[in-house]
Amino acid sequence: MEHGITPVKNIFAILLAACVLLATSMVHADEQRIVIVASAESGIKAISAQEVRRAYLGATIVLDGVELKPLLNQTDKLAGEVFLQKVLFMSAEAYERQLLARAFRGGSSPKAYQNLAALLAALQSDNATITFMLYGTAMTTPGIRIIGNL
Amino acid sequence: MLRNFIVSSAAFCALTLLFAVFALPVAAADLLLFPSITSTHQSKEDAELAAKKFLPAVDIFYATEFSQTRFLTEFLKSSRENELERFQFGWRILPGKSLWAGRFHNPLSFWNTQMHHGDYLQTSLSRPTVANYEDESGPLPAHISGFLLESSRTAGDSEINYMAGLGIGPSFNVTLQPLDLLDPTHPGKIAASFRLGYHPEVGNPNQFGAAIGYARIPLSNALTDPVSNLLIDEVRQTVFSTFLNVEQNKFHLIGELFVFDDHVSGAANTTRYTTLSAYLQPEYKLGESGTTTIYGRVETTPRAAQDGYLSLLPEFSPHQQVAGFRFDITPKQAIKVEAGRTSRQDGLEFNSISAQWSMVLPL
Repeated sequence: MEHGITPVKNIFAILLAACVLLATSMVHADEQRIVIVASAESGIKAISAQEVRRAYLGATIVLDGVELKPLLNQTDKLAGEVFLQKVLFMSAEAYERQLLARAFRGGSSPKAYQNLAALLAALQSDNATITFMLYGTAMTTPGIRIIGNL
Repeated sequence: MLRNFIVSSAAFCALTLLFAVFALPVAAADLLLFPSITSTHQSKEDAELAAKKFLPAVDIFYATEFSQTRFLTEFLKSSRENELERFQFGWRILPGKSLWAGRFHNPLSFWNTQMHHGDYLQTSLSRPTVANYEDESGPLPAHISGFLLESSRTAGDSEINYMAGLGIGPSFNVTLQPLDLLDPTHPGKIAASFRLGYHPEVGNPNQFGAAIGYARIPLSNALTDPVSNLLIDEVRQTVFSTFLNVEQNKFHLIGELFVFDDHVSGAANTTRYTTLSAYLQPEYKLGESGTTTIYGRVETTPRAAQDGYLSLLPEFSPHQQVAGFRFDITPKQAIKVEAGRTSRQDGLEFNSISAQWSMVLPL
Protein backbone atom coordinates (compact mmCIF):
# COMPACT_ATOMS: atom_id res chain seq x y z
CA MET A 1 0.00 0.00 0.00
CA GLU A 2 2.78 2.38 0.91
CA HIS A 3 4.18 1.91 -2.59
CA GLY A 4 0.86 3.29 -3.93
CA ILE A 5 0.69 6.28 -1.57
CA THR A 6 4.18 7.66 -2.36
CA PRO A 7 3.46 8.51 -6.03
CA VAL A 8 0.19 10.23 -5.01
CA LYS A 9 2.07 12.23 -2.37
CA ASN A 10 4.64 13.22 -4.98
CA ILE A 11 1.94 14.35 -7.39
CA PHE A 12 0.30 16.46 -4.65
CA ALA A 13 3.67 17.92 -3.72
CA ILE A 14 4.41 18.82 -7.35
CA LEU A 15 0.94 20.33 -7.83
CA LEU A 16 1.29 22.32 -4.62
CA ALA A 17 4.71 23.64 -5.66
CA ALA A 18 3.32 24.55 -9.10
CA CYS A 19 0.42 26.42 -7.49
CA VAL A 20 2.78 28.31 -5.18
CA LEU A 21 5.03 29.19 -8.12
CA LEU A 22 2.06 30.29 -10.21
CA ALA A 23 0.65 32.40 -7.41
CA THR A 24 4.08 33.95 -6.77
CA SER A 25 4.56 34.79 -10.43
CA MET A 26 1.03 36.22 -10.61
CA VAL A 27 1.71 38.40 -7.59
CA HIS A 28 5.03 39.42 -9.16
CA ALA A 29 3.33 40.15 -12.51
CA ASP A 30 0.69 42.24 -10.74
CA GLU A 31 3.46 44.10 -8.93
CA GLN A 32 5.01 45.00 -12.29
CA ARG A 33 1.73 45.68 -14.10
CA ILE A 34 1.51 49.20 -15.44
CA VAL A 35 -1.80 50.98 -15.77
CA ILE A 36 -2.77 54.34 -17.20
CA VAL A 37 -4.79 56.55 -14.91
CA ALA A 38 -6.70 59.80 -15.18
CA SER A 39 -8.70 61.85 -12.73
CA ALA A 40 -11.87 60.12 -11.52
CA GLU A 41 -13.73 63.08 -13.06
CA SER A 42 -12.06 62.68 -16.46
CA GLY A 43 -14.24 61.97 -19.48
CA ILE A 44 -11.61 59.68 -21.04
CA LYS A 45 -13.10 56.18 -21.12
CA ALA A 46 -10.28 53.91 -22.27
CA ILE A 47 -6.87 54.09 -23.93
CA SER A 48 -4.85 51.49 -25.81
CA ALA A 49 -1.13 50.79 -25.37
CA GLN A 50 -0.49 52.16 -28.87
CA GLU A 51 -2.25 55.44 -28.08
CA VAL A 52 -0.28 55.74 -24.85
CA ARG A 53 2.99 55.18 -26.71
CA ARG A 54 2.12 57.78 -29.32
CA ALA A 55 1.06 60.35 -26.75
CA TYR A 56 4.31 59.95 -24.80
CA LEU A 57 6.34 60.23 -28.01
CA GLY A 58 4.76 63.58 -28.80
CA ALA A 59 1.91 62.76 -31.19
CA THR A 60 -1.39 64.59 -30.76
CA ILE A 61 -3.97 62.12 -29.46
CA VAL A 62 -7.61 63.11 -29.09
CA LEU A 63 -9.80 60.67 -27.13
CA ASP A 64 -13.47 61.19 -26.37
CA GLY A 65 -13.12 64.79 -27.52
CA VAL A 66 -10.15 65.48 -25.22
CA GLU A 67 -6.58 66.18 -26.37
CA LEU A 68 -4.42 64.09 -24.07
CA LYS A 69 -1.73 65.69 -21.92
CA PRO A 70 0.63 62.93 -20.75
CA LEU A 71 2.50 63.42 -17.47
CA LEU A 72 5.75 61.64 -16.61
CA ASN A 73 5.58 59.79 -13.32
CA GLN A 74 9.08 59.94 -11.85
CA THR A 75 7.91 59.18 -8.32
CA ASP A 76 8.37 55.44 -8.75
CA LYS A 77 11.58 54.13 -10.32
CA LEU A 78 10.18 50.65 -11.00
CA ALA A 79 7.08 52.04 -12.72
CA GLY A 80 9.27 54.27 -14.88
CA GLU A 81 11.56 51.40 -15.91
CA VAL A 82 8.68 49.05 -16.73
CA PHE A 83 6.91 51.80 -18.70
CA LEU A 84 10.01 52.55 -20.78
CA GLN A 85 10.71 48.88 -21.49
CA LYS A 86 7.21 47.58 -22.10
CA VAL A 87 5.42 50.58 -23.57
CA LEU A 88 7.96 52.89 -25.19
CA PHE A 89 10.50 50.13 -26.01
CA MET A 90 13.50 52.35 -25.35
CA SER A 91 16.08 53.19 -22.71
CA ALA A 92 15.71 56.18 -20.38
CA GLU A 93 18.61 57.92 -22.17
CA ALA A 94 17.06 57.41 -25.61
CA TYR A 95 13.69 58.70 -24.43
CA GLU A 96 15.22 61.72 -22.74
CA ARG A 97 17.15 62.57 -25.89
CA GLN A 98 14.00 62.27 -27.96
CA LEU A 99 12.17 64.64 -25.61
CA LEU A 100 15.09 67.05 -25.73
CA ALA A 101 15.11 67.12 -29.53
CA ARG A 102 11.36 67.57 -29.57
CA ALA A 103 11.46 70.48 -27.11
CA PHE A 104 14.21 72.12 -29.17
CA ARG A 105 12.02 71.93 -32.27
CA GLY A 106 9.25 73.75 -30.40
CA GLY A 107 7.18 70.73 -29.48
CA SER A 108 5.59 70.06 -26.11
CA SER A 109 7.10 67.46 -23.79
CA PRO A 110 5.30 65.56 -21.02
CA LYS A 111 5.80 67.39 -17.75
CA ALA A 112 7.74 65.31 -15.22
CA TYR A 113 6.78 64.91 -11.55
CA GLN A 114 9.06 63.62 -8.79
CA ASN A 115 6.44 64.03 -6.10
CA LEU A 116 3.31 61.84 -6.00
CA ALA A 117 1.15 64.48 -4.31
CA ALA A 118 2.04 67.02 -7.00
CA LEU A 119 1.38 64.44 -9.74
CA LEU A 120 -2.04 63.62 -8.31
CA ALA A 121 -2.86 67.32 -7.93
CA ALA A 122 -1.97 67.84 -11.61
CA LEU A 123 -4.26 64.96 -12.58
CA GLN A 124 -7.10 66.41 -10.53
CA SER A 125 -6.67 69.92 -11.90
CA ASP A 126 -6.90 68.97 -15.59
CA ASN A 127 -9.17 66.22 -16.90
CA ALA A 128 -7.08 65.93 -20.08
CA THR A 129 -4.01 64.71 -18.18
CA ILE A 130 -3.02 61.07 -17.87
CA THR A 131 -0.12 59.25 -16.28
CA PHE A 132 1.17 55.74 -15.67
CA MET A 133 1.70 53.93 -12.39
CA LEU A 134 1.92 50.44 -10.94
CA TYR A 135 -1.40 48.64 -10.60
CA GLY A 136 -0.96 48.32 -6.83
CA THR A 137 -0.39 52.06 -6.44
CA ALA A 138 -3.40 52.90 -8.62
CA MET A 139 -5.67 50.60 -6.58
CA THR A 140 -4.76 52.31 -3.33
CA THR A 141 -4.81 55.90 -4.59
CA PRO A 142 -8.09 57.77 -4.23
CA GLY A 143 -9.45 60.22 -6.81
CA ILE A 144 -8.10 58.48 -9.89
CA ARG A 145 -9.49 55.96 -12.35
CA ILE A 146 -7.72 53.27 -14.40
CA ILE A 147 -8.33 53.91 -18.11
CA GLY A 148 -5.81 51.50 -19.58
CA ASN A 149 -4.08 48.24 -18.73
CA LEU A 150 -0.70 47.83 -20.41
CA MET B 1 3.20 97.17 -48.77
CA LEU B 2 3.02 93.40 -48.19
CA ARG B 3 6.26 93.57 -46.21
CA ASN B 4 4.87 96.24 -43.88
CA PHE B 5 1.66 94.28 -43.46
CA ILE B 6 3.50 91.07 -42.50
CA VAL B 7 5.87 92.83 -40.10
CA SER B 8 3.13 94.81 -38.36
CA SER B 9 0.80 91.79 -38.15
CA ALA B 10 3.54 89.54 -36.75
CA ALA B 11 4.55 92.22 -34.24
CA PHE B 12 0.95 92.69 -33.14
CA CYS B 13 0.39 88.93 -32.70
CA ALA B 14 3.71 88.54 -30.89
CA LEU B 15 2.96 91.35 -28.45
CA THR B 16 -0.56 90.09 -27.81
CA LEU B 17 0.68 86.57 -27.13
CA LEU B 18 3.61 87.85 -25.05
CA PHE B 19 1.14 89.67 -22.86
CA ALA B 20 -1.06 86.58 -22.67
CA VAL B 21 1.81 84.24 -21.73
CA PHE B 22 3.25 86.43 -19.01
CA ALA B 23 -0.12 87.52 -17.65
CA LEU B 24 -0.92 83.92 -16.82
CA PRO B 25 -0.05 82.66 -13.37
CA VAL B 26 1.87 79.43 -13.91
CA ALA B 27 3.63 78.21 -17.01
CA ALA B 28 5.50 74.99 -17.80
CA ALA B 29 9.01 75.96 -18.89
CA ASP B 30 12.15 74.46 -20.43
CA LEU B 31 15.51 76.17 -20.08
CA LEU B 32 18.28 74.37 -21.92
CA LEU B 33 21.92 75.34 -22.39
CA PHE B 34 24.01 73.80 -25.16
CA PRO B 35 27.65 74.70 -24.48
CA SER B 36 30.31 73.52 -26.93
CA ILE B 37 34.00 74.00 -27.65
CA THR B 38 35.26 73.31 -31.16
CA SER B 39 38.86 73.24 -32.31
CA THR B 40 39.74 72.94 -36.00
CA HIS B 41 42.97 72.60 -37.94
CA GLN B 42 43.02 73.16 -41.72
CA SER B 43 45.74 72.43 -44.25
CA LYS B 44 45.05 75.89 -45.80
CA GLU B 45 43.13 78.76 -44.32
CA ASP B 46 41.99 82.33 -44.81
CA ALA B 47 41.03 84.93 -42.21
CA GLU B 48 37.50 83.53 -41.81
CA LEU B 49 38.74 79.98 -41.21
CA ALA B 50 41.47 81.23 -38.87
CA ALA B 51 38.79 82.93 -36.74
CA LYS B 52 37.05 79.57 -36.30
CA LYS B 53 40.15 77.62 -35.15
CA PHE B 54 39.01 77.68 -31.55
CA LEU B 55 35.33 78.35 -31.08
CA PRO B 56 33.64 78.24 -27.67
CA ALA B 57 29.88 78.77 -27.89
CA VAL B 58 26.72 78.43 -25.87
CA ASP B 59 23.23 78.18 -27.29
CA ILE B 60 20.55 79.21 -24.80
CA PHE B 61 17.07 77.86 -25.39
CA TYR B 62 13.96 78.78 -23.42
CA ALA B 63 10.38 77.66 -24.03
CA THR B 64 7.28 78.07 -21.96
CA GLU B 65 3.63 77.36 -22.44
CA PHE B 66 0.38 77.86 -20.67
CA SER B 67 -2.92 76.57 -21.88
CA GLN B 68 -3.04 77.33 -25.62
CA THR B 69 -0.20 79.87 -25.75
CA ARG B 70 3.51 79.25 -26.14
CA PHE B 71 6.72 81.24 -26.22
CA LEU B 72 10.10 80.07 -27.47
CA THR B 73 13.44 81.81 -27.81
CA GLU B 74 16.98 80.81 -28.65
CA PHE B 75 20.09 82.94 -28.32
CA LEU B 76 23.56 82.00 -29.53
CA LYS B 77 26.67 83.44 -27.92
CA SER B 78 30.05 82.49 -29.29
CA SER B 79 33.48 84.04 -29.65
CA ARG B 80 32.40 85.10 -33.19
CA GLU B 81 28.83 86.30 -32.76
CA ASN B 82 25.84 87.06 -30.55
CA GLU B 83 22.58 86.37 -32.30
CA LEU B 84 18.94 86.06 -31.36
CA GLU B 85 18.23 82.94 -33.40
CA ARG B 86 14.56 82.41 -32.65
CA PHE B 87 11.94 84.50 -30.94
CA GLN B 88 8.46 83.23 -31.49
CA PHE B 89 5.04 83.18 -29.89
CA GLY B 90 2.59 80.43 -30.61
CA TRP B 91 -1.04 79.71 -30.29
CA ARG B 92 -2.40 76.15 -30.40
CA ILE B 93 -5.41 76.78 -32.58
CA LEU B 94 -6.58 73.16 -32.74
CA PRO B 95 -5.21 69.82 -31.48
CA GLY B 96 -2.01 69.22 -33.47
CA LYS B 97 -2.12 72.64 -35.12
CA SER B 98 -0.12 75.70 -33.99
CA LEU B 99 0.34 79.18 -35.39
CA TRP B 100 3.59 80.95 -34.53
CA ALA B 101 4.54 84.60 -34.99
CA GLY B 102 8.10 85.89 -34.78
CA ARG B 103 11.48 84.77 -36.07
CA PHE B 104 11.71 81.03 -36.73
CA HIS B 105 13.75 78.39 -38.54
CA ASN B 106 12.94 78.11 -42.21
CA PRO B 107 11.28 74.69 -42.69
CA LEU B 108 12.69 74.43 -46.21
CA SER B 109 15.68 72.40 -44.99
CA PHE B 110 15.02 69.33 -42.83
CA TRP B 111 18.46 69.61 -41.19
CA ASN B 112 17.85 73.26 -40.38
CA THR B 113 14.76 72.57 -38.29
CA GLN B 114 15.98 69.34 -36.66
CA MET B 115 19.37 70.40 -35.31
CA HIS B 116 20.20 74.05 -35.87
CA HIS B 117 22.54 75.42 -33.15
CA GLY B 118 22.10 72.54 -30.72
CA ASP B 119 25.50 70.99 -31.54
CA TYR B 120 24.91 68.24 -29.02
CA LEU B 121 21.75 67.13 -30.83
CA GLN B 122 23.42 66.34 -34.16
CA THR B 123 25.65 63.30 -34.54
CA SER B 124 28.18 64.99 -36.80
CA LEU B 125 30.40 67.85 -35.78
CA SER B 126 29.70 69.93 -38.90
CA ARG B 127 26.56 70.74 -40.87
CA PRO B 128 26.08 70.08 -44.57
CA THR B 129 27.20 73.17 -46.50
CA VAL B 130 23.83 73.59 -48.16
CA ALA B 131 22.20 73.77 -44.72
CA ASN B 132 24.79 76.19 -43.33
CA TYR B 133 23.81 79.36 -41.50
CA GLU B 134 23.46 82.57 -43.48
CA ASP B 135 26.67 84.09 -42.09
CA GLU B 136 28.66 80.98 -43.04
CA SER B 137 27.82 81.29 -46.75
CA GLY B 138 24.73 79.12 -46.48
CA PRO B 139 22.77 79.55 -49.73
CA LEU B 140 19.30 79.14 -48.19
CA PRO B 141 17.47 81.52 -45.87
CA ALA B 142 17.85 79.72 -42.51
CA HIS B 143 15.49 82.14 -40.73
CA ILE B 144 12.24 83.83 -41.65
CA SER B 145 10.43 86.46 -39.59
CA GLY B 146 6.66 86.36 -39.88
CA PHE B 147 4.17 83.53 -39.44
CA LEU B 148 4.60 79.77 -39.22
CA LEU B 149 1.75 77.29 -39.28
CA GLU B 150 2.55 73.76 -38.02
CA SER B 151 0.16 70.86 -38.27
CA SER B 152 0.26 67.11 -37.81
CA ARG B 153 -2.44 64.56 -38.39
CA THR B 154 -2.44 60.83 -37.72
CA ALA B 155 -3.97 58.46 -40.24
CA GLY B 156 -3.98 54.88 -38.99
CA ASP B 157 -0.40 54.02 -38.01
CA SER B 158 1.10 56.90 -39.95
CA GLU B 159 1.37 60.64 -39.44
CA ILE B 160 1.41 63.48 -41.93
CA ASN B 161 2.77 66.82 -40.87
CA TYR B 162 3.31 70.13 -42.57
CA MET B 163 4.93 73.45 -41.84
CA ALA B 164 4.10 76.60 -43.78
CA GLY B 165 6.10 79.78 -43.24
CA LEU B 166 5.51 83.27 -44.62
CA GLY B 167 7.45 86.37 -43.74
CA ILE B 168 10.49 88.50 -44.34
CA GLY B 169 13.59 86.71 -45.59
CA PRO B 170 17.22 87.77 -45.84
CA SER B 171 18.94 90.45 -47.85
CA PHE B 172 22.40 89.92 -49.32
CA ASN B 173 25.60 91.65 -48.33
CA VAL B 174 28.64 89.36 -48.83
CA THR B 175 26.48 86.63 -47.26
CA LEU B 176 22.74 86.35 -46.64
CA GLN B 177 21.64 88.68 -43.84
CA PRO B 178 18.51 87.50 -42.01
CA LEU B 179 16.13 90.02 -40.47
CA ASP B 180 17.34 91.30 -37.14
CA LEU B 181 14.20 91.83 -35.06
CA LEU B 182 15.78 94.90 -33.49
CA ASP B 183 16.59 96.48 -36.86
CA PRO B 184 13.42 97.68 -38.64
CA THR B 185 15.47 99.15 -41.51
CA HIS B 186 16.43 95.70 -42.78
CA PRO B 187 15.74 95.61 -46.54
CA GLY B 188 14.55 91.97 -46.62
CA LYS B 189 11.61 91.05 -48.82
CA ILE B 190 9.09 88.24 -48.86
CA ALA B 191 10.09 84.63 -48.16
CA ALA B 192 7.74 81.64 -48.02
CA SER B 193 8.19 77.92 -47.62
CA PHE B 194 6.10 74.81 -47.23
CA ARG B 195 7.23 71.35 -46.08
CA LEU B 196 5.24 68.16 -46.08
CA GLY B 197 6.53 65.20 -44.05
CA TYR B 198 5.34 61.63 -43.71
CA HIS B 199 6.03 59.31 -40.76
CA PRO B 200 5.13 55.70 -41.73
CA GLU B 201 4.71 55.01 -38.00
CA VAL B 202 3.61 57.60 -35.44
CA GLY B 203 6.28 58.29 -32.84
CA ASN B 204 8.97 56.66 -34.96
CA PRO B 205 11.73 59.00 -36.19
CA ASN B 206 11.61 57.53 -39.72
CA GLN B 207 10.36 60.26 -42.00
CA PHE B 208 10.49 61.43 -45.58
CA GLY B 209 8.98 64.35 -47.41
CA ALA B 210 9.36 67.32 -49.70
CA ALA B 211 9.47 71.09 -49.47
CA ILE B 212 9.26 74.16 -51.64
CA GLY B 213 10.51 77.63 -50.84
CA TYR B 214 10.56 81.05 -52.43
CA ALA B 215 12.51 84.13 -51.46
CA ARG B 216 13.13 87.55 -52.95
CA ILE B 217 16.64 88.47 -51.89
CA PRO B 218 17.63 92.10 -52.48
CA LEU B 219 21.34 92.87 -52.76
CA SER B 220 22.47 95.71 -50.51
CA ASN B 221 24.73 96.98 -53.30
CA ALA B 222 24.47 96.26 -57.01
CA LEU B 223 26.96 93.55 -57.94
CA THR B 224 28.23 91.95 -61.12
CA ASP B 225 26.94 88.43 -61.70
CA PRO B 226 30.22 86.47 -61.87
CA VAL B 227 28.77 84.14 -64.52
CA SER B 228 26.87 86.48 -66.89
CA ASN B 229 28.92 89.61 -66.05
CA LEU B 230 25.68 91.62 -65.91
CA LEU B 231 24.90 94.13 -63.17
CA ILE B 232 22.38 92.66 -60.69
CA ASP B 233 20.45 93.87 -57.65
CA GLU B 234 18.09 91.03 -56.73
CA VAL B 235 17.88 87.24 -56.61
CA ARG B 236 14.51 85.50 -56.80
CA GLN B 237 15.13 82.05 -55.44
CA THR B 238 12.79 79.08 -55.75
CA VAL B 239 13.97 75.84 -54.14
CA PHE B 240 12.45 72.38 -54.27
CA SER B 241 13.75 69.78 -51.85
CA THR B 242 13.16 66.23 -50.73
CA PHE B 243 14.49 64.62 -47.58
CA LEU B 244 14.66 61.27 -45.82
CA ASN B 245 15.51 60.27 -42.28
CA VAL B 246 15.76 56.53 -41.64
CA GLU B 247 16.61 54.94 -38.29
CA GLN B 248 16.81 51.17 -38.08
CA ASN B 249 18.39 49.68 -34.95
CA LYS B 250 21.97 50.97 -34.98
CA PHE B 251 21.80 52.46 -38.45
CA HIS B 252 20.75 56.03 -39.25
CA LEU B 253 20.62 57.68 -42.66
CA ILE B 254 19.80 61.31 -43.32
CA GLY B 255 19.82 62.94 -46.73
CA GLU B 256 18.41 65.87 -48.70
CA LEU B 257 18.25 66.84 -52.36
CA PHE B 258 17.73 70.47 -53.39
CA VAL B 259 16.92 71.98 -56.78
CA PHE B 260 17.80 75.68 -56.90
CA ASP B 261 15.99 77.79 -59.48
CA ASP B 262 17.66 81.18 -59.14
CA HIS B 263 16.53 84.22 -61.13
CA VAL B 264 19.32 86.74 -60.84
CA SER B 265 18.20 90.12 -62.09
CA GLY B 266 19.26 93.72 -62.65
CA ALA B 267 17.42 96.74 -64.01
CA ALA B 268 17.15 95.37 -67.55
CA ASN B 269 18.14 91.74 -67.39
CA THR B 270 17.31 88.45 -65.71
CA THR B 271 19.41 85.31 -65.89
CA ARG B 272 18.03 81.99 -64.75
CA TYR B 273 20.20 79.29 -63.17
CA THR B 274 19.09 75.80 -62.19
CA THR B 275 21.41 73.85 -59.92
CA LEU B 276 21.20 70.59 -57.97
CA SER B 277 22.68 70.10 -54.51
CA ALA B 278 22.58 67.00 -52.30
CA TYR B 279 24.09 65.39 -49.23
CA LEU B 280 23.84 61.96 -47.65
CA GLN B 281 24.98 61.10 -44.13
CA PRO B 282 25.01 57.47 -42.95
CA GLU B 283 25.66 56.77 -39.27
CA TYR B 284 26.24 53.53 -37.35
CA LYS B 285 26.29 52.93 -33.58
CA LEU B 286 29.06 50.57 -32.46
CA GLY B 287 28.78 47.94 -29.73
CA GLU B 288 25.96 47.05 -27.38
CA SER B 289 25.98 50.31 -25.44
CA GLY B 290 25.71 52.43 -28.60
CA THR B 291 27.79 55.21 -27.04
CA THR B 292 30.11 55.40 -30.04
CA THR B 293 28.75 56.36 -33.45
CA ILE B 294 30.74 56.46 -36.67
CA TYR B 295 29.50 58.55 -39.56
CA GLY B 296 30.38 59.95 -42.95
CA ARG B 297 28.84 62.55 -45.22
CA VAL B 298 29.14 63.24 -48.93
CA GLU B 299 27.96 66.60 -50.29
CA THR B 300 27.89 67.81 -53.84
CA THR B 301 26.64 70.81 -55.82
CA PRO B 302 28.05 69.89 -59.24
CA ARG B 303 27.24 73.05 -61.22
CA ALA B 304 27.77 75.62 -58.47
CA ALA B 305 30.41 77.48 -60.49
CA GLN B 306 27.87 78.01 -63.31
CA ASP B 307 25.22 79.43 -60.93
CA GLY B 308 25.37 83.22 -60.75
CA TYR B 309 23.79 83.29 -57.26
CA LEU B 310 25.96 80.56 -55.71
CA SER B 311 29.00 82.26 -57.27
CA LEU B 312 28.26 85.27 -55.08
CA LEU B 313 29.08 83.07 -52.06
CA PRO B 314 32.87 82.53 -52.25
CA GLU B 315 32.95 80.42 -49.08
CA PHE B 316 30.18 78.09 -50.23
CA SER B 317 31.60 74.57 -50.63
CA PRO B 318 30.24 72.74 -53.69
CA HIS B 319 32.10 69.58 -52.72
CA GLN B 320 32.76 68.26 -49.23
CA GLN B 321 33.36 64.85 -47.71
CA VAL B 322 33.62 64.26 -43.99
CA ALA B 323 34.07 61.21 -41.77
CA GLY B 324 34.15 61.04 -38.02
CA PHE B 325 32.96 59.58 -34.79
CA ARG B 326 30.92 60.68 -31.82
CA PHE B 327 31.49 59.31 -28.33
CA ASP B 328 28.83 59.93 -25.70
CA ILE B 329 30.88 60.29 -22.52
CA THR B 330 27.74 60.57 -20.41
CA PRO B 331 24.06 60.56 -21.43
CA LYS B 332 24.24 64.38 -21.95
CA GLN B 333 27.83 64.98 -22.99
CA ALA B 334 29.64 64.07 -26.19
CA ILE B 335 33.03 64.27 -27.84
CA LYS B 336 33.21 64.36 -31.66
CA VAL B 337 36.19 64.08 -33.97
CA GLU B 338 35.79 64.75 -37.69
CA ALA B 339 38.12 64.78 -40.70
CA GLY B 340 37.07 66.46 -43.92
CA ARG B 341 38.02 67.44 -47.44
CA THR B 342 36.49 70.70 -48.69
CA SER B 343 36.50 72.43 -52.10
CA ARG B 344 35.19 75.97 -51.90
CA GLN B 345 33.58 78.15 -54.53
CA ASP B 346 36.54 80.57 -54.44
CA GLY B 347 38.92 77.73 -55.38
CA LEU B 348 40.32 77.13 -51.90
CA GLU B 349 40.72 73.40 -51.27
CA PHE B 350 41.79 72.06 -47.93
CA ASN B 351 41.79 69.11 -45.56
CA SER B 352 40.65 69.62 -42.02
CA ILE B 353 40.46 67.85 -38.70
CA SER B 354 38.18 69.06 -35.93
CA ALA B 355 37.34 68.05 -32.39
CA GLN B 356 34.36 69.18 -30.38
CA TRP B 357 33.05 68.78 -26.86
CA SER B 358 29.35 69.47 -26.45
CA MET B 359 26.72 68.91 -23.83
CA VAL B 360 23.24 69.90 -22.73
CA LEU B 361 22.31 71.36 -19.35
CA PRO B 362 20.60 70.72 -17.00
CA LEU B 363 22.10 67.27 -16.51
